[in-house]
Amino acid sequence: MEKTDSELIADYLSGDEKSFEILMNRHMSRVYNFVYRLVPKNVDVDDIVSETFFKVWKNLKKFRAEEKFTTWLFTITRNTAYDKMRKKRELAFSNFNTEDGENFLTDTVADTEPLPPEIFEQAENKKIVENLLERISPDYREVLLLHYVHEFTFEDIGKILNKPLDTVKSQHRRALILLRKFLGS
Amino acid sequence: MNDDFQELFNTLKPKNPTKELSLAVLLHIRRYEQRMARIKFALLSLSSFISGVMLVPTVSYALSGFVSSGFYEYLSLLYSDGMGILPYWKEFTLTLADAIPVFEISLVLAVMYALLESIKLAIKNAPVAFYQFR
Repeated sequence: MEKTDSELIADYLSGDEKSFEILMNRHMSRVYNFVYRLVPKNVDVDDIVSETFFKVWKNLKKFRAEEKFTTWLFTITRNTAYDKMRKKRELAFSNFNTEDGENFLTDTVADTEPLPPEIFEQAENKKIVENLLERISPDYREVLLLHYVHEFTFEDIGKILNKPLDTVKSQHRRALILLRKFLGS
Repeated sequence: MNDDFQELFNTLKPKNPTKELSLAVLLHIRRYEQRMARIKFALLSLSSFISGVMLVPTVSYALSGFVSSGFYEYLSLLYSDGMGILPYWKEFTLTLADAIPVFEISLVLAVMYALLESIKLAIKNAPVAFYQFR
């Protein structure tokens, strides 16, 4: 039977060197994909992923077994990615954001209408989602990626981003409205 | 979860990290461990050297402590007139114990402990500190 993340960590801390490698390989792809979609194209994804797992290894003793490992891992990943982006001074924001980070579009568009069916047909071929993600601010992008790609709950996203649940839900709603607006145009 | 958007996000093609990335992380960790092991090895070698040097004056200080406390004189009584002190063996034992230079002996033991512990830890760190990465 496959060992849980917490069991692998416990094994590593008791001296089984191989356990960390198994743990890392288990989550490498998810972390890589999250970083790949989160950061601008001129930021080195490999560098962030490598730094993330190094930090995980260094802080493994601080991990509390009652926590969810993936939440802890994505918190480190997200913080590492932001550190690198800050260093690169490439923390790009959407053209639609005001100086305060608010978005005038989100207050004017409804978020409940279904998407037109042709969108789904075109999405895969034309890389619609990838292009849309590049157009929105990292704040919205990370909420969408964590929720729809990595299937975290809003509570977990709140922990990862260190933001209150209401803020996460509000960012999610605003992000969807923005996506809908872009899809409409 | 909004099903429409879930479906939309499912069209994202996953990107696969290279196999070298895992190796790069492990190498990064090994190099860090080696750097730490080298620092520890250097500090422990210095500590071994200092405690080794300190052992000489500490031992001579302890020996002079035995002389000044009269421990040797009491002990020599045991060999020269052993039968004479037999009726007073309790008092003699107490006097002998009282003449032991406890502080000086503790100092020697502490320095010896520091020396042996430093050597042990330095030897433990040496394989990691001097491992050659291919």
